Amino acid sequence: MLLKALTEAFGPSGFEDEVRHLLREEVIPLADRVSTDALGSLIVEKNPDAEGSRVLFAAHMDEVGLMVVGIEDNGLLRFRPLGGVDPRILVAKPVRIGAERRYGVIGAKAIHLQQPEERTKPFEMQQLLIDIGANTREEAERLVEIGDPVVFATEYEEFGDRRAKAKSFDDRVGCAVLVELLKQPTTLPLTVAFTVQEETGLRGAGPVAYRTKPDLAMVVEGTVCFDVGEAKSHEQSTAQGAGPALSVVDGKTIANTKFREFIKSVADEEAIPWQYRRTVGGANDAGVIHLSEMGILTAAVSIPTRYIHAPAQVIHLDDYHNTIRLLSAVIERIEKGGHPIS
Amino acid sequence: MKDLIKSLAGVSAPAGAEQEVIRAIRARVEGVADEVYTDTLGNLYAIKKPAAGASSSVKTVLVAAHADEPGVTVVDIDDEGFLRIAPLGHLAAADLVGRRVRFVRSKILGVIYAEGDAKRNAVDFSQLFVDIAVSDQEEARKLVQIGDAAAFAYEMQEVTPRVLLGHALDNRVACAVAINLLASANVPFQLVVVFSVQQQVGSRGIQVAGYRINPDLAMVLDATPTGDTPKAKRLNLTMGSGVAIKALDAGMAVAPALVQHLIEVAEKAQIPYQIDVSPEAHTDAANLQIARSGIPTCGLSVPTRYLDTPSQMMHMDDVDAMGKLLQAWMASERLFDV
Repeated sequence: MLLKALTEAFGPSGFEDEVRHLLREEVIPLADRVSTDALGSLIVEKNPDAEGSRVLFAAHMDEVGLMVVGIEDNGLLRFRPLGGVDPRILVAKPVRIGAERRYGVIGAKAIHLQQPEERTKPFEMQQLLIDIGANTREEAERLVEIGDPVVFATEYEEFGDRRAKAKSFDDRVGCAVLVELLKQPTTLPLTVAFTVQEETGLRGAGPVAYRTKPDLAMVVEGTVCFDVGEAKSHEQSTAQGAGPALSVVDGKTIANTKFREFIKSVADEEAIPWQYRRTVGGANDAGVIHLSEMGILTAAVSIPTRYIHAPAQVIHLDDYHNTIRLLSAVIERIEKGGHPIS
Repeated sequence: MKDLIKSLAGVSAPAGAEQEVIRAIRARVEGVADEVYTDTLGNLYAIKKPAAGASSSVKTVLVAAHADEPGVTVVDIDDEGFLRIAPLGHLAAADLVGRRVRFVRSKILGVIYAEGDAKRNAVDFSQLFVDIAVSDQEEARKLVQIGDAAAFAYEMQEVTPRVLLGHALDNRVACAVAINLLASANVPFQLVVVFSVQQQVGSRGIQVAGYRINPDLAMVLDATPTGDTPKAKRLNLTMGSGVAIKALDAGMAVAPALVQHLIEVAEKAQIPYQIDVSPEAHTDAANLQIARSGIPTCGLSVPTRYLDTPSQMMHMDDVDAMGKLLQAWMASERLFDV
């Protein structure tokens, strides 16, 4: 099962190899040309020499994680974040470390031992250590190395009303959408890119845009969703099950209005639900793609992801399927001569 | 000049929705430039070809002035018809309470206010709304779409005949100077003037313009903060003492030879100037300087009081000095040889 395999694969920023290998196997039978660039992004082309609008779809392979930066005398590991990780979600989480996928647990002082005032304050990252079951520094050094990357040890699972949880829907759900899009026949010169290092500052997508020089680009993301508790509509960003979310403005992009209107019109004609992404925080690969070379017309479409950047992220499978339906209809529309600027 | 500034400074053109001011500028440069076009992001390019008889290895000078200003964009609409907004550019939420804004697409007017329980000095954007005097969401949706942008709606005014006050003097004044340059330029090189977009959100427009034009030399026209008001941050610039020649800002340092050349030109032509070292100011120069394989880039700015408010204050003497120094610089024999 693609979503399970992709989300359970190990791929923090800068260490996307396992995800890339998995995707490469999936897309080779579907593509005319498959290549990897110097930073590690996977570039998949269909009909590279065909006439028509050159369309780029991009989803990032990397997930937020940690990196081992020190080993204590007692064999516990110090770490730093790779990407935006909230230290408050780390305590007591199981993790996997390095090429051997060693098991570890992020520990902290038990509640029994905390002074009353300690209980009122969240742990900071420097108070937390990863326990890999080693007794001494020497023992730990035989198991892990400084620089080893770390991910949450969470399995994919479906539950409740068409929900699924996994450690890395941001953005393996986007990767899965793009694999499904590649399965559909098209006559367009279509490029699908699986980018690296999005979570550490949109580093992989710029070189991809420069190399592929598309006329149009669409970024597919797992995005913030906080439709729980007492959040008002404009504080939720997105709502689960309400369809793919279209970007308006984020930290790195003011979305092109005509491109968004074009996608909206396709969704409305196909009776596919959609929503606006209603907050401004965060950014995605569109931020660098739209500024590549002389500027590229770019849109971002996202799958609402509850508890994003945490060990158990939750999506609604209807949103996943509706995103595939929407983007597939957008490709068909462009194939028939439709264009955001007409 | 004041009339030109006034006609441009009254237009609402928040970052990402500059179409109206771009249209106004386009109407003024179409008659004087040899070629005019826009790009994917909305940057406006006006090109003046070199005078007849110029050599085939002709050089290109890029003059840039950003056309946008800070503003807000609609991210949601309440059931009661109040619009929820996000900032476009560096605006503090608390400074927006009670401000009037005009929407670019529908031209309607609205007032920004904060939820009743918001603390006056600790307001954040999720507590702000725009009131457009409708009674529910349905009525609001007829006037405003999600993604519509608005900017301050105040006319430019004169405090004295030589001192201007307005919400978008940064950077319509520089746009006016650039329009005048196009009208009068008769130069032996190719002159490209770009009226750039999305400067307020991180100089995004100039990034693609620099790549496209790849000039031999570039000049960025902008506004810069002064240090001449009570307990102002320590800056040497004062309003009315001359055009500011950029040496350093938050994103770049100008090559010392380019600064010295501008000083020499100013001294020779007896144009009042000041050296601009503004460690917190952002202009298009930073991104332009690192486009392609690197572009020699300098900057001239109008010293401006209250830059981060709708009441920006500028002295016409400084504006005139900017226009004169720009012309004298372009006429300098050593332009490509500093």
